[in-house]
Amino acid sequence: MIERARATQGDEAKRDPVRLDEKLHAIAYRRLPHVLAVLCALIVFPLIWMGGLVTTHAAGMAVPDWPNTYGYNLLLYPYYDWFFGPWDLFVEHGHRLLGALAGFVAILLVVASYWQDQRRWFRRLTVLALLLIIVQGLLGGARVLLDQRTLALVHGSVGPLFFALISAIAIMSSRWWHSMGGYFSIETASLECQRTVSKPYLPTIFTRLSLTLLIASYLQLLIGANMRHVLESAEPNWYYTLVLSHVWMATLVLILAILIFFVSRNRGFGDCGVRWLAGSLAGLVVAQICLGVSTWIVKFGVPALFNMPEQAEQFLIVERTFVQTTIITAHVAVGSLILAMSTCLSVRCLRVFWPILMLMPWEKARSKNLFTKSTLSHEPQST
Amino acid sequence: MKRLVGMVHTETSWKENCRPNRIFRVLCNIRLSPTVLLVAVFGLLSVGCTPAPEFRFNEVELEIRRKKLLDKDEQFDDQYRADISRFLSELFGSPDEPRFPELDDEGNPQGLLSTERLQLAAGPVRSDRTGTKFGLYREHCAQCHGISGDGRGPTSAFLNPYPRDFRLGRFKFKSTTGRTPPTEEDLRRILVEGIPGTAMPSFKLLGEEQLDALVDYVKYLSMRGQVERGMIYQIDDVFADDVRLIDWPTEAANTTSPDSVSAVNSTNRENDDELEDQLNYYMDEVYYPYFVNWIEAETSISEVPAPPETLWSDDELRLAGKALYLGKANCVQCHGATGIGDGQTTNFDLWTTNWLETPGVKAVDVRTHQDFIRAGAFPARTMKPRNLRLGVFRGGNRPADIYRRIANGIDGTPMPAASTLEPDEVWALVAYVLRLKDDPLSSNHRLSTVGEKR
Repeated sequence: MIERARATQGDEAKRDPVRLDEKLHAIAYRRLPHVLAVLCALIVFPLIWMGGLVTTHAAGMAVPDWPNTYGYNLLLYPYYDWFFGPWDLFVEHGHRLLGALAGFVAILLVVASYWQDQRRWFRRLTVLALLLIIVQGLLGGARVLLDQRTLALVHGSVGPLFFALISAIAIMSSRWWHSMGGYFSIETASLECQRTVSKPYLPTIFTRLSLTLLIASYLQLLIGANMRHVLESAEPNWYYTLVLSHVWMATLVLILAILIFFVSRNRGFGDCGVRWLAGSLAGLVVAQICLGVSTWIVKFGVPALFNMPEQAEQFLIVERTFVQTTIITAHVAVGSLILAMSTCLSVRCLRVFWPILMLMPWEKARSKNLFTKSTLSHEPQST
Repeated sequence: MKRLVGMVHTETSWKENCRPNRIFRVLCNIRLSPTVLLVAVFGLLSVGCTPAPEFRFNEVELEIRRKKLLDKDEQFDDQYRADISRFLSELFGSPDEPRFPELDDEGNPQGLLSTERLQLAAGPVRSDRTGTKFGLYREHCAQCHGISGDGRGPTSAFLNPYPRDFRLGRFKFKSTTGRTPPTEEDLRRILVEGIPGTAMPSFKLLGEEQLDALVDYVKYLSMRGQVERGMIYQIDDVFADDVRLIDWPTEAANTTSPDSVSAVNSTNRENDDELEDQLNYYMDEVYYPYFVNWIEAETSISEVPAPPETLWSDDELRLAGKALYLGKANCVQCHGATGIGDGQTTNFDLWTTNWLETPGVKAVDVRTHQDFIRAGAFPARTMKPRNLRLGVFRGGNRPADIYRRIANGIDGTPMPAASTLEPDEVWALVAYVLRLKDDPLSSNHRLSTVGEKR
């Protein structure tokens, strides 16, 4: 990558070769931070699933103390009692153990980033992630010690945020991220970018769509968390509003995901390394909507909207079956996965299309000339 | 191209303006001081702290009384609400600490409710190291039925039918007759079997102990609601001219024992005696009758005679049932000639007619409902008679269940008790209803003709 960057930075390399080498070295790929970030993300997804199970089974208060578990240090609680004890204890203590593991990996990530990665902002980002997971742990502890369901709502809303952040960090520490760097002037970067994109307006649309999807999916998640942790004393109108908002927001997320999918499939878009992500995201959103409908059915019965009176009348809900709890929890976990994937998509978009995104607002008309056939070249235009 | 690069894109300028870089630069400049963190954490905690839930007052019933009093040009004072609330909290405690008044001198609850079971079902959800779970009502029921058992849980507005309001003490599917409360077994059976076609699930995966606790808590909420309504009735029945229902002395606010009204401890003996008299009066007039009703329900189970052996096979029995259906029993009026429930559909259930029959309120004029909607009533929905051809019955599919629904009626609904029918006739109707699902609609006319010929 350094060689390629050097080759494309002919003029700058001649002007100040030492400085350029320093810069290139600073942004070189390091394996350890990336491995730790990916590992942390891989731990956080089952952690969120486990947290969803805790709420589904109302097991949040299965262990009344914190950070200890029934007087034992979290890590020293007898594994036999945990594994073969009551289900609620198994889920809650398991959630805590996974959380501790994720926190431990987040600490290692900070150490690794300060040790190996020279990017200041990246180091700060890993520290931010560590602080976020600490706050998340404290929120979980406060939820238990104060026995407040509203804190469970906050805890449930911050968890996916950490998942999204650690996923972004995993992308930013990847080999791909570094391979996209090495351009120290806009013109070389633009030219590199135009190799794949023949229609300059597509990346702008695509990036805006993916950023909108990111915001919409988190808002949707917040609404869902409010529905899930609604207080028993809440007014029916509040829940009614939440349900309608959830349905409308789901429609918006679906439309955005479909648009992103079709834009990424446009011929003029080329293969920018985001197609598979856009495709997966669209599939996941469709699956999530199916899970959402299933969640409603296994919890409240067949909605009248379906106009299936006979099936609706014959349907009997059985509380706490494996199928019911799995569907509900999967709906929660996949919601977080959509948030994390849309974050990855947005981060990748910003990384791939930054030259175009920069050019478009200022020189929209002129930039079209930049992407005309006549200007296509692998080397910057010389004056 | 040259102009483009020259205008804006020196190395410094594009770095300055690059959007990703801007974001990262902001991140770099964040100063996460401990103070900011502490403020954030405490801010979240303060937002997250909500008070313990309390029983919601039956504002709909109070609105009914208010309208009736004002209709008679009598006064209505909001102090009634405070008096009744206090009376109820003394008797029944709070959602976190439920109590149950013991009536006899020995302090025995006479077997109606178990304090241990109430403790298991009440309060916030938690469990101990052995896996014993507490707060069962809030875990499984309160989302729909509400903390007070008023059927106004957060999810209730979406559900059809609306979740049951326990406070009237009336239940649809039971083995007792008329207005008699259900037995423990009735409530338990609904919990275990659920109600198909509604949001009421089957809790068959819960343990026996948990089911018992939920049954007791439903009875507790129901009795509390009945006493609350009974006290609200007292406003116009007994003390219409008095501003207060109970003269609660402020000093004795926290000294009245929940177990016995005679425990009021105050320096003013005269006031104490007066208060004790008032409380005893309400215990006798309001509380005790409901208590006795629930006790007697266990021995008021309606008998179901043995079904005919040919219930499923005898066509004559079925056709006799058909004739009754169309004629003497007049089922056709609501369930329709074909049994698909397309007859009269303008009736309301008891929980709606309770406030819909208040002076000045018209069923067809939604504007006259608004005071009650604001007070907490749900928008009125007409009842849809059962489609008998589905072969699924909400009160149970067993022949004995159908027999009871026909013989006893369905409490709180327009479905009347078939008091004029003999047991044999009821069984004939059961035979007809049970086998309707196998009878194609197209053959209904033929069946009807055969029935008429016979």
